[in-house]
Amino acid sequence: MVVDGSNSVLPLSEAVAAAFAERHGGGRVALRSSGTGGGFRRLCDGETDIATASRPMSARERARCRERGVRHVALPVARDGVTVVAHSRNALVACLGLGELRRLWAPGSEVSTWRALRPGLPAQAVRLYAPGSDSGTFDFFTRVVVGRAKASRADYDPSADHETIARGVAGTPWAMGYMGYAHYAANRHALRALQVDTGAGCVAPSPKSFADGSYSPLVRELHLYVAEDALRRPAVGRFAGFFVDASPRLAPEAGYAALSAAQYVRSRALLAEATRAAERGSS
Amino acid sequence: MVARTVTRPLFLEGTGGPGARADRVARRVFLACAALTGGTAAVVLGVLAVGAAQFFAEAPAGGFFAGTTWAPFAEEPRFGVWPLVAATSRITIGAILVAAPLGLLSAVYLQHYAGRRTGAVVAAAVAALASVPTVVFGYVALNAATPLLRLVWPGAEAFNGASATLVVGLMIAPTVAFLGREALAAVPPAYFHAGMALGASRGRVVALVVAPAAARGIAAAVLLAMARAVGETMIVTMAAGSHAGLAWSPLEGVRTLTAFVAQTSLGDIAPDGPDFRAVAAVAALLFVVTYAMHAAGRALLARRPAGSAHP
Repeated sequence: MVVDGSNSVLPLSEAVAAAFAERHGGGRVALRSSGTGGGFRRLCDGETDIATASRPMSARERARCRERGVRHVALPVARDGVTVVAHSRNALVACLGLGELRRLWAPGSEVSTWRALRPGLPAQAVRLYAPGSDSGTFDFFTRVVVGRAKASRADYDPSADHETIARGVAGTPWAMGYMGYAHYAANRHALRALQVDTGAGCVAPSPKSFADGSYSPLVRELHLYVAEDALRRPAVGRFAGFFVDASPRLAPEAGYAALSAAQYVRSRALLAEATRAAERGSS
Repeated sequence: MVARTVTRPLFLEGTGGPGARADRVARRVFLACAALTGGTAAVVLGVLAVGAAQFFAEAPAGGFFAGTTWAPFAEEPRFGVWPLVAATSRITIGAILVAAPLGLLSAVYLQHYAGRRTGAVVAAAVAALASVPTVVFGYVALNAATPLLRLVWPGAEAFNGASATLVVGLMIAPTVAFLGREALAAVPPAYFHAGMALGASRGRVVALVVAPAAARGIAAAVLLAMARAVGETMIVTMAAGSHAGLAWSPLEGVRTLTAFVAQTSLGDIAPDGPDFRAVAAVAALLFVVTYAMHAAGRALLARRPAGSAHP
């Protein structure tokens, strides 16, 4: 069974896969993280059974999947907030407004020092670390902050791996970056999460502020996209079902907010329906 | 004692027997293997050439070679490869500045100074360094060289050119040492003895007689080691970062040609997408550079000085 996709979902997938192996035995689940875009591409090429995603499938990706005859079902599993992080010793900045983030990250932005971002801050260079262009987090952040998906300044250090971003920001004085909250949570001793002012005051990212909506514009739902054909193999359906069932417990432990109970019931129903469709298709 | 009957192995049978057939079969198997190896190289070259050709059909070559902004995946992509070339050049030159003195002085020591026992120990140590996998060097650069560097310069970034350069230098030092020693060994012993007979010190003989006679071989050693540094991927991918800017400070992160290819390929690359074409163009450039350096190194090695002990 091959699962590929979002690096933001990876900590959850890892926790679920470990629990699944404990319950059902065997290390049969291969987890990769090519990014949400790469995960969708591989799912629609029939190379993988499940794609994890930190943004919904775009119309173009949907068309590509349809062209290749790959039917799939999207199951929401958790909620996550994109977290803006700075070097741990940077105590001068606690909160950034969406407007400041937009000026910093807009294409061709010439904000290169903290002072240029906000008068009164030191004239230290802002070194930027962030996900690369195949990342769902990148697409989401640019859409919310800059206003258009994939519109970003290009002179930052891109990485497909949020751990590398964490390492870069943690190890570079006056650096800044953004990543999924779970990756921040795993490195919280080395990083400083900044609050974000969306117009209604500064809000710190946390599973609580993701759940109650106060961190809202930067909160997204994470999904599993399961290929319908793969559901003919009972193991795939078992794993996807286990993922949905285990998420309410494992998501908070791994640094996400769980969805409401009703949403998990709905995910289960969607999965059952897709499984029936797959069985009809094969008989 | 039982007399032994000697059975002649099949391949020693006369020309008409089954041995000849086995011979023909074996010949075909060997040919197939050789063809497969050469064919693989041709396929790799073909893929790179097609990708690069598609790339240059969209992006003008002038912008590629002269541009100073590398942002291939931006909304408005820019394909100036110069920052990547500058990063690779800086790391290669820095690494050879570390490796050449280390390697060449080790070679001189091993060839002309070391006693038999200590020589064997030192040669084994150099060989051990040569056998370290590059991913281990990358780990060392990230988790040993960088923290040490930051003790001296606290402003050094988490991923920086300096520690990658230092560790790439250590990685290629054995190449310089071994090839350099071969070059020294190829100088006819008569040169050395004649110099010593004139009453010169060992150091003067090595510096003024043996080394000039071995100059070609030494240059080849340096060149081949530099080719390794240009193509080195793991260390720079792990430790040098992904910042494709024209950084002047070695304490800042840089992105080499190889690191761009590796880091971009860590995600999933669609074979018909723009990222594949950019990777192919950079990989093709990398191949041309390393091939030219290898060819020059081999050409130097092929022409030994007259009277060489090992023609």
